[in-house]
Amino acid sequence: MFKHILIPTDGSPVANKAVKAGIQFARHLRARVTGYHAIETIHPQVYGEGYTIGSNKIVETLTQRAREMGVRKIEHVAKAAKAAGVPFRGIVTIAETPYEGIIETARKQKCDAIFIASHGRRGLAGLILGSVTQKVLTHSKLPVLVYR
Amino acid sequence: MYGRILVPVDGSSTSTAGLDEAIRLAKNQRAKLRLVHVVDEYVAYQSYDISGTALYYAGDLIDSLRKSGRKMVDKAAARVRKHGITAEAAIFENVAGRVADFIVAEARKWRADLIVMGTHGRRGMNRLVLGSDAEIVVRTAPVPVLLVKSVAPKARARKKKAI
Repeated sequence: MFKHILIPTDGSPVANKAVKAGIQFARHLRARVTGYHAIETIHPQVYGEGYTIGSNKIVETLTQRAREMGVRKIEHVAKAAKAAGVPFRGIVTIAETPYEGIIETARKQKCDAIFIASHGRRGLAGLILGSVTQKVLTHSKLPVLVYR
Repeated sequence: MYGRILVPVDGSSTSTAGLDEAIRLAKNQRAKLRLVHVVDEYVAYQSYDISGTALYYAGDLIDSLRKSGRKMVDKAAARVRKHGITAEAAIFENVAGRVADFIVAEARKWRADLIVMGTHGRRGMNRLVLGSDAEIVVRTAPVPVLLVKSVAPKARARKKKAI
């Protein structure tokens, strides 16, 4: 059965619920968990004839802040994993889009399953499938458990 | 944790990939499986014409769909039981609804904790849309859904070659 489960989170309430369930699932399977949060690449805005608003410095600052927030979100998962006695590792990376970060991380870390919430902070409960989850389902070769 | 697992089956290699994963999970969790097969009668009814002669045809077709469906689902259940897992098999007939709606309704009725189903891992356009049944199930299911990608035989061969 699954030995290493990737649990992505965007820190939203729905994702938090999935994190809890995912950790319980891992505990039952005696699997370890990698918690993951993607930081979306921040591009400086370009106006007119190549005139950019938002210097590299601003981009750096914003990315740094996003990273700190991401780490905090992962710490939340780490705590839950520790409480359940599940081996855990947290990863935050910069990705062009969250779904690419999720699939890339699962591949690099050699996870054998992904446990993901049906939608994150952009979704509408009970009705639709979040756009990130949908893309993960489409592109992942690993089994994906969609939690709702 | 997931003690009652619902597995839609249709006899395809895709659905078998889902069933295999469900078996592994059930073994691990000591879960009970319920296999459901939906006979899509809509396909048969599409084929009759005004004269009514084709209706006989439709009847025969439905009958054979039912029989082969029953055989397939029983075979799948036997395979599950071989692993020492409790399995029940059910067959439904669908005239006008969506197959996915039956699966979701059944998950509710049987109080499933989890649905496990295979999806095709096709490339290109098809890959972008998932299996439409699987997608509707994920969108509307009251419980978590584990989706298992089946690798097309050709792609699997290529992969082996590459290694």
